Amino acid sequence: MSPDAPLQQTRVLTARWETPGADRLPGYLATGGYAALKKALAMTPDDIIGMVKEAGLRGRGGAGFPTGLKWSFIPKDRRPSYIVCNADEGEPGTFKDRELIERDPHQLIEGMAIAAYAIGCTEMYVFMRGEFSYPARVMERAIAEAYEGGFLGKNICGSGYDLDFVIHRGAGAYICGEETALLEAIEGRRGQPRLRPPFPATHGLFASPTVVNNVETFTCVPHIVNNGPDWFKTLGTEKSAGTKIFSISGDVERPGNYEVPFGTSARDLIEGFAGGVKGGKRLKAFTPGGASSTAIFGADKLDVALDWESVQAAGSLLGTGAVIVFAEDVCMVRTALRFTQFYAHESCGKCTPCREGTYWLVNALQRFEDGGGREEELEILPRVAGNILGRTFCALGDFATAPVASTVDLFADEYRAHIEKKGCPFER
Amino acid sequence: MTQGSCRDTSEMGPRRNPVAVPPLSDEFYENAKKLIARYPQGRARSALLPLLYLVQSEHGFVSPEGQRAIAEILGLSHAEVAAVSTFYTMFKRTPQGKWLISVCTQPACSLAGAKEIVARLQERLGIANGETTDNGMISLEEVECLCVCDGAPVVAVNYENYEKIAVEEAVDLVVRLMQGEAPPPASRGDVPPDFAAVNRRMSGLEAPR
Repeated sequence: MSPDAPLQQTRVLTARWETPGADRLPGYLATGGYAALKKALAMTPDDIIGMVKEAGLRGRGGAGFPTGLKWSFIPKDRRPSYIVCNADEGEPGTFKDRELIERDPHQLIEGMAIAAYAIGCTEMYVFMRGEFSYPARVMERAIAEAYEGGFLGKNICGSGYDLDFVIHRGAGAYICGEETALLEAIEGRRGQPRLRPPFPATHGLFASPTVVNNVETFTCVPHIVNNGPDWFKTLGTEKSAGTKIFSISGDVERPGNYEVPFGTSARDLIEGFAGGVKGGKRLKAFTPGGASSTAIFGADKLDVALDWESVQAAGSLLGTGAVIVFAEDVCMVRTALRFTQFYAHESCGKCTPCREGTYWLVNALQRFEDGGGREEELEILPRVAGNILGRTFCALGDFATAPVASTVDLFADEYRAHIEKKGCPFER
Repeated sequence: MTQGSCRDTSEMGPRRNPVAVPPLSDEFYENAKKLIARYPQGRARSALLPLLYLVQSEHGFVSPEGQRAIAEILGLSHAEVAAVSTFYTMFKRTPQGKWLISVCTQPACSLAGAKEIVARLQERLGIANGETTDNGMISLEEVECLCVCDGAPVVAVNYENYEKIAVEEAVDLVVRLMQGEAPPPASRGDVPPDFAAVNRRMSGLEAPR
């Protein structure tokens, strides 16, 4: 970033956020809404899938799986099939899906409807986290408007194609963001991940072929249909096409969602868009992808480009693009403890390493905070984490190890300061 | 709880005195049918989470009686219903107050003072996390990320968010809640009049289709 260059967001998914009334149907239509759906309904489903593949769209829920490829896995000879939107946003530090729903709910409906037509499904579900009370009301209103306007229901846009939409609310379980756990929750069960294979593409919701995509992923679709895959590829990097909404929070002057092309540096986001570390303090650390970043980054990683490949090459994961910033006076042991408590609370209990391991890690970290930490634990902690990593059904277990492993690695001196002082030497 | 029944799994945890609840209303059974009808034929079980919300809207928690009624409606064993109800944190095993206060204490909120808010509210209300005031007005809980980190610290009342709330503002808010009124959050949304109302919304009864 040159110091004089004004920073501009690249508003694609968030283009309507500044337009009053665009969250309602008339405002949405006035800003080009549902044009992509009409265009898509005149195309063949295979052409739409081809277009999404060509654009290089990858899932925005954390894994970055190619979306068009996912859609193409749906067998054409088995019906019903289902489109399910994962709106169970719960990753600490992430708040992009909430704002996408609150400010532009029709964009999500349109993206899902195009996906539904592409895979030949007539019933879509959005699984929305229970705590999203206000976003759910906005969504419900938008769905009612879409039915009223002929964009949902029988014979949508006069195409002869029928499409229904059901909102299903979660009830307070982060694990339901894992797609098979999410499907279990819609089926009225405990949200515990399923054994794969079979994958949701063949045996998903109600044992039928199912596509599960994140909110942000679906919202990219109308823009790809409207502007074409080549345009989409001009944004971002070669392997991470398009824009990404980064949620920036923690110790920054201007926390918020910022939409920029993939590959924008963490420095531009933190020091530029978010106004730098709050109160003029120095930066100690940040997460490139929320609590589930496999490694927390120190200040030396500020110039890492935030796209899937670059973040991975730097030793972490981009995840959902949640950048939580920690100033120089933050205790990283306490931070690791609070993140690990999160995973201990959200572990579904299915796999022993995750269920027991997170419990043990929380106890050990709490001991450090309370003054009972011991030097040998700096070796034991990563070992326990290593016994969870890769030994669980789903990725939650892997993510649960990151805060501990990463802080012991980067901030061992802070752990030692806890041992020496027999307690936490930090204020916050 | 039925006398002489085997251990009721919905009552796991510390032993509590059974709470007397009124019979479920006729409306409950009518609404249950509507919720089941939203899902494909033969997939009635999908209505389990919505029905648990509906029980909470009648009883203020997922009462054993309500869970048994759901089991009967859906043709499930009571254990299956209890296994689900105990999995999700928004299904409460004790009656909640008129207002459920949820304070996020994940790092973004903690860095902005959330822990102090929890401590002050506990002190002001005289209750610990997971408890309800004696007058039945307020329940307090510490929760995981509410995904409003740009508004840290966040205090939710009946799942509506008060953002960037200072400690003193949080205490003032609680005082007003104790008097029975919830001022609308500055950012967006309106607080449902009570825990029952928010659970009714949550069930999906007011959703289109």
